[in-house]
Amino acid sequence: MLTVLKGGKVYDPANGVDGSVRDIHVRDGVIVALPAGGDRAGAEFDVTGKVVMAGAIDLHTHIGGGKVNLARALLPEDQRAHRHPHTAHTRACTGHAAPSTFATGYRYAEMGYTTCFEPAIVPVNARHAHLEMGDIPIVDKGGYAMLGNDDFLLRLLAEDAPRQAINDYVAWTLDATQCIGIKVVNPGGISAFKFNARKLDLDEASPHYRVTPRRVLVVLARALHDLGVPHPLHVHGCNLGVPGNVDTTLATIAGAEGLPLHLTHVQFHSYGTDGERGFSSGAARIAEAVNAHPNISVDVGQVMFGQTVTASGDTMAQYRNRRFAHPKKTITMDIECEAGCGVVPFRYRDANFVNALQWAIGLETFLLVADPWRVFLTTDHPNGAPFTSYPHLVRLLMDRTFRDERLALLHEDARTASGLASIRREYSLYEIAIMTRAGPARILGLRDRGHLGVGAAADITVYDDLADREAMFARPALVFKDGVLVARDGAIVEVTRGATHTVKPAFDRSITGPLGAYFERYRGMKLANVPIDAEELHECGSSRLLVHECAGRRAVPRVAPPRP
Amino acid sequence: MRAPFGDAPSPVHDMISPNPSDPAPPRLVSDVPCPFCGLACDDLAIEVAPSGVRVAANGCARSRRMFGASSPNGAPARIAGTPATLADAIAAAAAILRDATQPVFAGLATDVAGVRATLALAERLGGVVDHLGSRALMRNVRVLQDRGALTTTFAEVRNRADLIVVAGTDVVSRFPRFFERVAFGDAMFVHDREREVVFVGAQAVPESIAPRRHIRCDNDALGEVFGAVRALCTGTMPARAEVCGVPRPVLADLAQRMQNARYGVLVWAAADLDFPHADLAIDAIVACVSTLNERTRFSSLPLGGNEADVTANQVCLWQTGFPLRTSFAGGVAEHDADRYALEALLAHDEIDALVWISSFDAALVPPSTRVPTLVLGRSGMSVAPAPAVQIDVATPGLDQAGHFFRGDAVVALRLQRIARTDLPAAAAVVDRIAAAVERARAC
Repeated sequence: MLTVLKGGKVYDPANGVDGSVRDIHVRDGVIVALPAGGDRAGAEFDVTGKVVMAGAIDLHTHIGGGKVNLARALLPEDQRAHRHPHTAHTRACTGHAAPSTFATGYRYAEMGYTTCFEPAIVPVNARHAHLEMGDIPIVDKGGYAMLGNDDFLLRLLAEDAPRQAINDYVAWTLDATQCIGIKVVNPGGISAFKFNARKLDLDEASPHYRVTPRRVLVVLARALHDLGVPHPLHVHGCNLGVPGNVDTTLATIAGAEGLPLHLTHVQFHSYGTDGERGFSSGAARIAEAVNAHPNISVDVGQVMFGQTVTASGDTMAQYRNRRFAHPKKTITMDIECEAGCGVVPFRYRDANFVNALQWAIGLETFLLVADPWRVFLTTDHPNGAPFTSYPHLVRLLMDRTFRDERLALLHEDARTASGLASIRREYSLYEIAIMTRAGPARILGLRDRGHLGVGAAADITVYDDLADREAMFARPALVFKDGVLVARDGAIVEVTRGATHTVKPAFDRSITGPLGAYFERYRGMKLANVPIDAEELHECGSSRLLVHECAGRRAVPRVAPPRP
Repeated sequence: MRAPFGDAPSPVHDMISPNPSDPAPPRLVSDVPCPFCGLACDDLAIEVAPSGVRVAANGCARSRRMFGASSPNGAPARIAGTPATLADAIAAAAAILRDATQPVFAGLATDVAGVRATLALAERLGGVVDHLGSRALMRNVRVLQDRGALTTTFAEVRNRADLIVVAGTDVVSRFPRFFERVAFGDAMFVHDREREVVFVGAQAVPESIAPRRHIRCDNDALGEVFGAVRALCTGTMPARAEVCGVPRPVLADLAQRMQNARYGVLVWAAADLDFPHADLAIDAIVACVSTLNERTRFSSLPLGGNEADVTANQVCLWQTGFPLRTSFAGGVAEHDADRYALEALLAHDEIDALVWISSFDAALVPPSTRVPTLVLGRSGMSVAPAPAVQIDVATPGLDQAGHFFRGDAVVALRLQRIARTDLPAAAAVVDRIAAAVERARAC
């Protein structure tokens, strides 16, 4: 059946379309060219005057896997305070900071998001993560496997293993875990914490292995580059949350040796030590470095005020921060000689100097990074705030008056410590479409997502063009997933199952020899029982496997962004 | 939302006879994950013969018994004890559930797909979900909700632990190969000769563990004992000669060993802490572990997972936001560890239908009740008096593929289909009952 969306103002940056009025045609879940001849549309939606974009893509959101379930277990109060009964279309759902799987899928789809990436899959927990994500309805999912604290890699580095062996191991991990990228969290630091180290700087040799975080970063970034994996190494750097970590982050950027790096939730890594409180914004310095290094991209990890929960693989940082827990309870977990997990509930308060400045640092980062293709809209859900705060964040970026009003409510010292009041920039709809659609698709290598050109998947979001951008982005008029109308006016009307996005770089399977021996000898598991195949992924709940090409990074955007 | 995968083909299909009566020679299947305790050892070799299956290598007494207890195809479905077709049994089950105002879905010893199917039906009917292992599980859940946790997983214990303190359990009765595979073995950062095991409590200590220490006390004193150890670590111990019969020097020695450990692990099995308010003892244990981490690394390892209690709890958590013992009355999820316990609901006469799923152990039968009961049990299960409906179902990891969480709650394993029986998966039966209930309601 042919579906047509008539008369909308289309924002499709990947194809250089900036608000011009166009019709969009959809057949069998795919955007098609205007059919020749008398092919009549089976369904027609008059979207005159409305804003049309591709479905949004969240490239960093903790939605499934062990730490999310631990967060739910830790916080029954979060579930009790947010409960929704089942309806004819939807299952009962709960939770705000740590929503249930059903709530996650429904809330994302209602906001016009159609694809989400879980950024911290511990390889041995991948099966759990895919089972959980299989129960997140509607949206497509993908994941980044965590390496860089696993003893197998650290052993390879300690013994100066050949580059080929490391590349094969990285590729095997992507293949076995059905992930699309690799993330490193506090490189070497999670391992170091298991040896009772409480900090590990970028150039500090780790306990036992004597390997520096810098080396872990470069080796993994190079491996992904060699393998042609589109998404750069996804980096949660050293010293998360520590005042002065802006220098670590700048050193990380400088030390990338030109290799592509994606610095995630960079807000948490942009802290200086100036001022009488010893806590200051490093956002301007970070933005300057990002602007000067085209190999670097960032997502922000914006903080919003209110109760949330932080869940991270960075046990070293989470254990350090346990004293700030609100309510006062935390989880720390060492995981299977691969990684760790720390869960710390947190309430960001606008009357608190540090929290208020964190809020401002995030916004400064958004507004000072010049190229919207290299900065992405995230709250590091749920660590900075639940993803449901995205519409509010969009308004903060698009509406300077609104932003200044909110700024005026903050802790006075934070206001004066931040340069936010002097920043005039307002994001355009075109730029929002870049940072929430075209940009993430490009940096993940998703050729048929994040745009509205012929051949793209018909993931489409239609907004009422409201002056109040928060209201506009909270409740899109229409959301299509693979051509199916799934939400109307911010409410779910049909529930579908999403696909799983992966990559399958070529590698030498002889790596399973030493890896199998390692698993057998030390891990007490048979390697044969580790990998997840496509059929099993289907059992987990995925509708299908979408394998993206490993041809390296895509070229610079086909269309230059308009000047801010 | 998805097809049950009880009938999914497995990698071993081609290796075994399609017909149990076919006198093909026995086949050996290796690297088989075992679903019969929370350790989920995945190194078993299973011999599959027309007469049944047998653990050929790497088993324990428990796995040998449980794998071997299989009867090839089960008995026909029964309605009030009388053999019936599966279709009629499903219709009878649906008729009971259609009219029920407060159904309870318990036992819940099944795989991920079985739990998914059960949660969907329970939600549709406003039912309650509980697990036969919840009484023990809730002791840990309460502490997690109130204090949090500092935990570790099996491979970390094996590779790092130089001190293992075992509280109130012999471990091996429930987790037979724990010491062989988790507490000892080739390790990256510790030699077996450096490892020390200290048992604390009223348990019988396995003779095979040496060297070992045993500090004897009643299990219901474990909270006081570890509270005292914590106080000794922080230098706030009152001047007392003994705590619950344990002399102060013994406690001081234990505190010293725990502080001196490079990577200590405190192990318990909530099922063996069977005394009133055992959650408070666990809370004291976790507080002690927390204090130790201020100077060294120490983790806890709450052992569980048997009968897929951890599996059921994980799925319940991600789908409903709550642990087990959750109600869907009014279509809204609500958790209460006391109120939604099957035994409490039965004692207060609050339910009018019981669905009991027990697909691993034929000995785990539903509680005796006058409430109409539907049993989805492992083949060979004998329930007296005969329940309203009984359907033999496949055992995940034996008759069907499936997913099962190890007791450390991190590693999910894909169980294999080893024996080619015609037993239906619990998920498939529940889905068919759900469809029949929907049809009956539509009439």
